[in-house]
Amino acid sequence: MTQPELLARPAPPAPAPLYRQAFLIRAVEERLLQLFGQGKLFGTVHTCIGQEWTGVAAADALLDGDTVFSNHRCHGHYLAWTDDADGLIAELMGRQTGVCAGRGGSQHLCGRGFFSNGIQGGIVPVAAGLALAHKLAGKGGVSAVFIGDGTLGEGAVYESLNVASRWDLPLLVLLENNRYAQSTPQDQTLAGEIPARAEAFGIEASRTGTENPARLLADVARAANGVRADGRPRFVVIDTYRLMAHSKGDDDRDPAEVAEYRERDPLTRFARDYPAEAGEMAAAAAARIDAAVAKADAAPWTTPNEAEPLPTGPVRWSRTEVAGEERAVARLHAAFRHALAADDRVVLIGEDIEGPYGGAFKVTKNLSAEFPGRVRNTPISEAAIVGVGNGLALGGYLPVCEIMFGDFLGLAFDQLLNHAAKFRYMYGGKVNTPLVVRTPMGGRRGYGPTHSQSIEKHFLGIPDTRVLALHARFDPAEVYARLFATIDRPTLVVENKLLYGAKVTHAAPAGFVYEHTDEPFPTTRLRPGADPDVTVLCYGGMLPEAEAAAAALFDEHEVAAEVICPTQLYPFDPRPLLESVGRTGRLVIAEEGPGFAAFGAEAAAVVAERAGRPVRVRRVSPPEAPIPACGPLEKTWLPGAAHIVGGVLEVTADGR
Amino acid sequence: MAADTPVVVPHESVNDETVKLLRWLVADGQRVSAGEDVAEVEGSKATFNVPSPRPGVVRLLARVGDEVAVGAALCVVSATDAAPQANGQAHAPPPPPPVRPAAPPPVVESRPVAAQPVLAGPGTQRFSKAALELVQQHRLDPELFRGAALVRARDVLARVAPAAPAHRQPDPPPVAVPEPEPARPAGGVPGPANGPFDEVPLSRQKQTENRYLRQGGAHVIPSQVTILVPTAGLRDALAEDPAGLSATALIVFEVGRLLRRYPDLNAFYTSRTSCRYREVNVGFAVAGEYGLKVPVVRGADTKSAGKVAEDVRELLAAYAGNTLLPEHLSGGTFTVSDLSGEGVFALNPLIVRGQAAILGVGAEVRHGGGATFSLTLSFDHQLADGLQASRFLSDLAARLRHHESTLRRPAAVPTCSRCGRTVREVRRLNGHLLQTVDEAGGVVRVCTSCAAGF
Repeated sequence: MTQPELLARPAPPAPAPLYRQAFLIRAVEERLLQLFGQGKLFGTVHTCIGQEWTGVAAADALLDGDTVFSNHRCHGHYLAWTDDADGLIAELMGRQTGVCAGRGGSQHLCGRGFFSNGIQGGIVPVAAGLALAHKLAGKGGVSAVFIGDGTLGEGAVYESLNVASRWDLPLLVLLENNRYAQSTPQDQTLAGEIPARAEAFGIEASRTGTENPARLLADVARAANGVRADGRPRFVVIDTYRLMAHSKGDDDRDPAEVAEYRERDPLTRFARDYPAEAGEMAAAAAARIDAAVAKADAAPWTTPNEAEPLPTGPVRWSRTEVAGEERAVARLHAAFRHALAADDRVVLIGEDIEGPYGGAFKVTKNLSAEFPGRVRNTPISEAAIVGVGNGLALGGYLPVCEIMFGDFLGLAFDQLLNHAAKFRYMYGGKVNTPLVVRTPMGGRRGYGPTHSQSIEKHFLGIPDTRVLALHARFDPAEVYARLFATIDRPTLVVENKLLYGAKVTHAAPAGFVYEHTDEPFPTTRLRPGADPDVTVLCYGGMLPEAEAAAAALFDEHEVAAEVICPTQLYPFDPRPLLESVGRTGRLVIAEEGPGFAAFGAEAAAVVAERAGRPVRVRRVSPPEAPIPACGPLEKTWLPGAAHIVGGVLEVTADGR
Repeated sequence: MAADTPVVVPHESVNDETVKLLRWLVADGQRVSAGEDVAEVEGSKATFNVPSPRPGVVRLLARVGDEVAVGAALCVVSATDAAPQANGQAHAPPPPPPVRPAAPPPVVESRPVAAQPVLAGPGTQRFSKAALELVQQHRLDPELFRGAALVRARDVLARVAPAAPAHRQPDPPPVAVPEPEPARPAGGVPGPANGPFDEVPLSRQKQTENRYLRQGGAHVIPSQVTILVPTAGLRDALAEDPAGLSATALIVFEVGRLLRRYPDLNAFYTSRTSCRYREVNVGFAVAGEYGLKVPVVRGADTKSAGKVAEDVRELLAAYAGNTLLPEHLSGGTFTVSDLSGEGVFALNPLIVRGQAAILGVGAEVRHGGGATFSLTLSFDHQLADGLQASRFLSDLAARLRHHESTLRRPAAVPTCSRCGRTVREVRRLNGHLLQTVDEAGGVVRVCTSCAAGF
């Protein structure tokens, strides 16, 4: 090409460096498709070919210190924000040098305040939570989040828009409208207008597109600056088109339609108008990519997840004196009051937790007045509550999310399972998620099938999480104090409904003593004053029943039962249990929720594998049926002391 | 006048069985209107105010800080103004509202423990039901198991078997344990000496007696009730009884029968339990040449008065011959201490180990218009109370008096030695029966009619 020709053409519609970025993105995506074909990638690849300018525009509009959340189609967003082609390619090739140490793969990238997750919509409340963190920090940060038009089917999006608007959060939602939800055309699944959704929440919405990069850059910048200026959310609809399949082998679109969009694609047009520049940009990108692939090829595979080593060695027991005889609800209140006063990072959110109501079980009574802005009422949006908690945790805060009834946790399950529990691992250990979710569980109050359940079994065994169950024989305030001091992962705390009114005391029945292991979240043992004949394993709300059973077993049947009651259900440290069954050879496991695939099943399996001697096991749990509301029926449905006694008599039937 | 209306703790939260009284919003004796809040209380979920259901004057029943059961009365409201003064004791004005202290940081204190045994401190020991029954059956002192947190039947049997004398299968005697004797300072002056003294070692007999009494006292909360029983001469009547029932035998017999109706006096106390003996074996204290001993009439509730009298006679004879065997002295479930022969007015007998009560019998005291004797019951207040004890004594007194009236021969009705009229007939004739002496100095009675006739 010659100089005069170049001068004769119109100026490119956007700055050249941004075109270079866009070409790099496209070249990386195309190379990833090749690598996939060569078997060098795993799973699948969602390319953004045709949509490159959304990421470029966002990166251009946002500042250092802002945060960017993205979805399954995140490569372009990430590259535009970080320019880290090496890290991205190595990540997709599963190498230790990947941006997330090769653990996250295509959909899970993290760097420079960038977080992506492949779950549709679930990242939006997390972005809102980080917006709240920006707001609390007061440094003018903005939290941007990419969603697609297909994501509009997810309820979490609307919970988040509501919260962001009501709380004035600096949240910038960038919706890439490529008109297909994977393979489903928009007109089959989307009702109403897209901007109207945001406007319904009082959020300023605007519409732009990728066909005109200059206009796109200006529109996105205006929205981002607006968020930064008034701290209110903005919603930008970016019309765009994906030129390749959603993933691999799932493109049923009319080839003529795709061809038409390829003609209108800004990079196609740029290459046509500026072939030399485009050629140079493509060549430079190819060279970077070649180098990146070569480096990644030479790098080692990612390592397996470092399984958390459970404590080993003998169990050390101590007796613990509880000061005073307060109700557990007072101890919990004291714990949160102390934590709020001692650590500015602690934030409490949940339904009805502000004064004067102070939470359904009054744990947060008066705290909202004492710590304004840090004890917040939320809408009835469990996914958003935990999602916002996740965002706060990523933003360096210590969020405590109260779920009014444990039964409602189902609404927030995705936030625990696919977000909180995954961040640390899939982001290559760059973050942890110090999220506390606390909730009352359990029956004996007649609240019925959806308010009286003990559903913690569904939350057990999610790697990188912790599940605690409180009881009144070890100070719940101490548990929370230790939790705030050491928290390194999402932690679900189960508070049995009967616990709140119970007096916190270490007092044991005559002839028995309470002891605790020296773990941060100890196992409690009710030790009989004679060699134990049988071990009773329980947790949380079953401890009072097990205690009564132990007393009755001795009085009526001369059986000395040792009760083992872990505070930490997961990860489960089986040493105290194994130590006990090693002496008794008999185990009865009591649970308040139905026993199939529950904690007791796991404990029984551990005993079978590791006890080192045959152990007779019985499980005591309610029928595999919903919990009734009717008081007398509930009483017979729930296992109590008498059931435990019955179980013990079965395993001790052949004498001692 | 309308009755007092209680102001009860409402059922505010399903979680609470009690609430804590935080403060009074009214003073004792204050007039309140209907719906006016009288108290602030704290449940697990909330603090809330309790209103008065009606107008009137309040009388406070609980104190600030009390845990009051849901449904229980915090105070009463009465229509009358005078009511609060009626009980004479004006309550102090309500204290200023308690300032809620800043919630303290969580405080717990841990101390490591080795795998040491669980030691039983006060109130922390547990007997299985079977163990308790055995302890009761063998009349063992629960103290034997001090230090064991959990006591099973086999633990009790282990204590029983080696100590059981071969010649008594069914009822091994109580097992003695070394008593905690106050330590004697080495080489120093023993005890609370107030001047020069001579040391005379106690006889073994006295030492044993002391040990039993000390053990008996260690676990009881002693209490005492004494009644005075009017009598027209029970002992005289008994002395004239052809059946030869002695006073001691009669008391043993009646006590035996009565204890069936007072099982908690034929029992012992241990760990929140009344261990009621199945047999009634009444011991009676004998003190004489061979020291204080308490031979036992076994099955006193099942024996006839004559059989009891026979047993008492044999036991007394054995004492006199110093041939009492251990089995004569063991297994008592109740004891009678009769010091009437010593002219004692009343006594304070000490409860014997493994028993709930002991009866003390005082001497007949004559005074103007008749005679009385005292009956004293020392009892373990953990098992009985003063009312029960006094009813037991009253029942016993009634039975003894019944004996007195049946044993006594029909009283000789005074008659005139001349005309044979009875004193009543003489009085009907407006005469009198005079008492005089005959030549031999014997008492003779003669009516005024016959006397006038001479």
